[in-house]
Amino acid sequence: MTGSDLIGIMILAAGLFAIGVFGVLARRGMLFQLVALEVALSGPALGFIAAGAYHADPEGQGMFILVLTLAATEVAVGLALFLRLRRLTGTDDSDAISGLKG
Amino acid sequence: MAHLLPFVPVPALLGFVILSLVPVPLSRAAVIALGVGAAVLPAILFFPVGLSCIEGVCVAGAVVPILSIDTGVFVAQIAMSMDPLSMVTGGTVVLVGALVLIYSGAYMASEPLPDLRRFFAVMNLFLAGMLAVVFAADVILLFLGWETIGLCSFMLIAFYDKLPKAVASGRKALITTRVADSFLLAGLMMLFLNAGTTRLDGMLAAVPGIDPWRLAPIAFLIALGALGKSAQFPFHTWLPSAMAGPTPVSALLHSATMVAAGVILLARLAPLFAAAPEISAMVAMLGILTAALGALVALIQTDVKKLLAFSTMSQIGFMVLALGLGAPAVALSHFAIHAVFKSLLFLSAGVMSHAAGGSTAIESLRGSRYRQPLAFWSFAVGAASLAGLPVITAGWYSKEAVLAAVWSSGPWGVPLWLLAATAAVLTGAYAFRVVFVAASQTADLAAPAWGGLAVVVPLTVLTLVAVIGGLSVGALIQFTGGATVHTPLLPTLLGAAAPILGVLLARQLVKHPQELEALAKRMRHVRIFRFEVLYYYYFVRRFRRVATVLGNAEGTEAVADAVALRREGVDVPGLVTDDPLGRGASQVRGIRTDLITRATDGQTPVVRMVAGDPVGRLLIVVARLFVGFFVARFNPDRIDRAWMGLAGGAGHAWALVRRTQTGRVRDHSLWIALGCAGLLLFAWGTSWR
Amino acid sequence: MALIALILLPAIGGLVAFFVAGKGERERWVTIATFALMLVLLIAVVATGGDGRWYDKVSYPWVPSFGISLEFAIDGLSATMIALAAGLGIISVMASWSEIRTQSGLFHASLCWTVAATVGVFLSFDLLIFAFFWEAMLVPAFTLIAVWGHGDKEGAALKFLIFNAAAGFGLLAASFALAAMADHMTFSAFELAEMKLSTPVQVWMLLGFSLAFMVKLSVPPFHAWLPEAHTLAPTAGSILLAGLLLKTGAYGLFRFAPMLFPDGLAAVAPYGIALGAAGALYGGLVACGQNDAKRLVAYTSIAHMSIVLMGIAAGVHYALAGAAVEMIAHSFSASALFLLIGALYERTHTRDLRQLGGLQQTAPKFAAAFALFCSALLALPGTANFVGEALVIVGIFQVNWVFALLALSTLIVSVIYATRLLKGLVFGLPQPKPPLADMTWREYWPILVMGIGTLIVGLYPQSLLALLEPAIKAALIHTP
Repeated sequence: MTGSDLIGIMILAAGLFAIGVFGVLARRGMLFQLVALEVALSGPALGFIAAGAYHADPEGQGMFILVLTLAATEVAVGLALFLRLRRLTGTDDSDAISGLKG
Repeated sequence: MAHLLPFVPVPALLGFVILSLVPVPLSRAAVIALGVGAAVLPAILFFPVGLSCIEGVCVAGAVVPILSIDTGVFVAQIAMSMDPLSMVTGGTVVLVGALVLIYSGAYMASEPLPDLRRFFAVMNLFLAGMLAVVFAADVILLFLGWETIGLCSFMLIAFYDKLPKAVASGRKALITTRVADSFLLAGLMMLFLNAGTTRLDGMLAAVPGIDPWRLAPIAFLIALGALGKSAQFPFHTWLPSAMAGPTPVSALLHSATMVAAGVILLARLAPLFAAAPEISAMVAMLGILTAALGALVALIQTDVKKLLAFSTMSQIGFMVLALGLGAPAVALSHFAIHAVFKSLLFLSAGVMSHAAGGSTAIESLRGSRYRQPLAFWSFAVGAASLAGLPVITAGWYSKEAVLAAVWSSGPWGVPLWLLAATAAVLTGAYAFRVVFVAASQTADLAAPAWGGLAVVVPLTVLTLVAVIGGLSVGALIQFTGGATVHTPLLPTLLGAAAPILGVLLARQLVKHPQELEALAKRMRHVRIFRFEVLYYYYFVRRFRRVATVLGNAEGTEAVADAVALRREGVDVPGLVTDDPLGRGASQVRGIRTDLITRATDGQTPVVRMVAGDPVGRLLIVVARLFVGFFVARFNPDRIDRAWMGLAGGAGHAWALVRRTQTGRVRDHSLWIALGCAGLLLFAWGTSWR
Repeated sequence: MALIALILLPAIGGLVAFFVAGKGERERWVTIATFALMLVLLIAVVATGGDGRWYDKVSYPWVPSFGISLEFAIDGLSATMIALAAGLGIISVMASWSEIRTQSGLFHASLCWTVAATVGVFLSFDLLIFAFFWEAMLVPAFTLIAVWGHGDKEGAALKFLIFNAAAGFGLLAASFALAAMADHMTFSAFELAEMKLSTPVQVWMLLGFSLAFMVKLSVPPFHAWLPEAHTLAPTAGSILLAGLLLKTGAYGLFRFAPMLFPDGLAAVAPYGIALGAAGALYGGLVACGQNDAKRLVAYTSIAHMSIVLMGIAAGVHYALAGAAVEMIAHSFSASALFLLIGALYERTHTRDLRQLGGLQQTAPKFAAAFALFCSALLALPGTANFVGEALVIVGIFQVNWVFALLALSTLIVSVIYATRLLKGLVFGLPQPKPPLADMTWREYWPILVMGIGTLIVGLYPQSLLALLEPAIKAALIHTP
């Protein structure tokens, strides 16, 4: 793998992340925000793989597995929150829970 | 028998200790028995001592040592003297003391039990103190007794303590004698420092070696002290007021013994005064002045106890005169005789006034001759002795000896003698004025039964001594070391005629009382007779003003509370009544504000609390001003201001920043993302090569 | 070691009393036991006999580089003062038995700690340790006044604290200056006494020391803290203040002024005598104008302490002996009077002389006790006060007879205020209306002990003077 390859993959990863963040910011439905978060997470995961391949270091793959577990837990927590949200407010609008408002 | 001497005052002291300090209830009879017994025992103990003395044991300078006090650089020896002087005075004191205490067992019997107990306790302490004075061979024991009798005198004058007048008289006596005592103490201390010993004989032995310029002030101070105790001219005002005490007290303390302590002291220190002739002259002048003035004032008295008080002053004046002229033996013999007849006079006057319903006015004694014949006749004998009726009374012998000493005392002898003889005429007049009044008939002859053995025995014994004691005067003078002076016939005869003239004068005055009143009225306008008023204006009032200003009780907490309560309309009893220092109710209602009060008005209570006491208040005010001066520089505290401003700014900032917190998940996500981007940018920027 | 134990014992006793306090009277008995143990220990120390000057003398280095050491010594004067401290401690407990009902544990702890600190003052010969104890005794005494006092107690306590703490600064500053002037830095008074300083330096150092001592001694014009502190304190506080804390000032002056600054003291002695004479007269005059019995006694304290100052400044043997005796005598008479007035206040709730009277009708024991101690107050021969005052005045006669006559005039004033007290309390119509309970045994026996003490010292002063002799000899500045 050459340096130019790496840069290309990194741009792809950053694009994936940006799409994910955009999804989180743009959507109000919580389920879609969670999906967007998954997308956003896949960006850094791709970056780790690419960097590991470039340096011929297995740690990159290790970090990918970490990101996967992170995503799994995040989805679990997120879905639990989603259920709480539905129970409390009856909607899936994340703006309805603004208890942290200053 | 000399070793018995130190134990003579012990029973009296024990009597005091048991009666006052042992907290055991005693019955009335027990109190009287203890009190009287403690006074009679010294007389019994003294008897063998006196007897051995007559056999020749006691010579001038013989002492009985008791104990020595080591003060480190100096060993003070406490001792009692066993010389003729102490024997004569001691004998007189124990005799008169025992008889008066026996009498008071009857006189005071109707007092409430606690008062009775207090009376006997203090009387016993007094007797012990007096014996200490007469037996003392060193100044420590002397001064111990001296002050003790002063304090006892206060306690006894103030005995009827529910009368404010009695307490005031007691304080007057104590304070006046204390002024004199502090002179005495100063004199004794200076004498001690010059002589290097506290023993009287040692001091007298050192007298010739003392520089006259030092000796004169020493003698002056000691003389003032003695004159104060003896109620002589400048200090005399306390004695008439002292008659507020019970009659036995007057009989023992204020006629026979305590007031004579000054005479005893002057006699004991006679060599000192012989070495300071100018002081002796002063003493003699004050003596004759007091003798004459006292006799004159006694003449116009309407109260028999007051009359006897002035008579005491006058008679002691005679003794002091003899002392000033250098005849201590004569003075001592007059002291002994005077003690006997004066206590006789007081005791019989007490009986008579008791029969007259307790009044001591001379007029109320009218008819005593029929109500109380024994008391009347013993009073008459006492008065005769006081007047000095020739040959038959003891008073004549001793007074004649004084007059003889005056006559033969040098160039000023004859004028002094004339003055003294005039005083003797007046003495006869005032003494017999009472006798004539008491002898006259009245309609009211109801005699309450009062008497008994306790009254009869003292009166009889004293009467006998007052009559036959005269025979012993010559022996007494020789015994105490004086030489009998042979005077020419003329002054002797004139001296004998003086009392008779006095009796005639008394007869005249009793027949024409308006003359006496006219005399009294005229004398009241003479400034010298209003000495008491002068004292009050010049000393007492000024002292009180100073004490009031300094100790200003207004503004203290209690008064402040009272004022606050008063403003609320609550009555505060007691606070404003009877302010002894002369600040009445008006001041409490509208407190006078002085400078310092105004300066500290509205300040913390700490400042206001030091009421009165200007120095203390000044210190507080100065401290406050000092602190205030510096504190004002830092008030308001600028650093504190800055901190408080910062806190305020933070509050405003918070109001702005809180708007950014929407609580929406998306907004938070945006901020997180922006933060991440910023961090990434930062990381990129710092890793740029 | 015994000397350190003497200080630690009351300190620990206070802690114990604080923690055992609760139901019953445990803390009172603990306190009494502590003081009794102190007395036993003291007797054990004194019984060793010593070397003629000191009964015991110890020195443990503490901070050698700064010359600070735990240096303690005990002689007759210290022993008498410590005995007084322990005795007055017991008497204070007795006096406050029924008065103090709140926070009793803290009260008794404060008593113990006050005594511990004063004992420290009486034993320390390292100036820094001395200054430590000097300041330390203010705190428990402050607590005593501020918590259990009457009226504006906080104000009085604050005044007491501010005055004494501020004056203590003089002591501390002079101590540091002295230590710095030594060849090698040392705070040991024994070593500093060897130092030869010029007279002006000695005078300045002495002024620093005496600022602290005079304020504690409350000689006018430094007395402003005393009347309120004494008047508003609880009875036990008044007893400790008058009987003990004032004496620390007298003790310090007596001990350190002639020891460290003999030339300086000789130079300022006339001013000292004059200040004392004026102060004695002033205190007496102010006392004459008081209506509050306790205030009156407080002002007499000022007068008597001024006499002590005169005695020390005179510096001759008689005067010093007199000053030492007067210290003890005043402890007895003032403490007893405070106790009596406190006991009376508990019954009548007033101290106003115009609202009281006739005790000899209603309460003869009270009356007898008042009569005895008023006699002591007016320096009746036969009481310890007379021995003290007469010896001081004889000593001053040796120095200057004008001041001596001035000092004698205080005797006249003393009779006026003493009879005023008698007149207001003992004589007159019974007020307030009877019945008035007479003294209980708990009030009676301290009075009895102090009365007998006053009379013993008064009639046989040798008993005390023999004990004090070495200390007096050491304090002489003149040998006429």
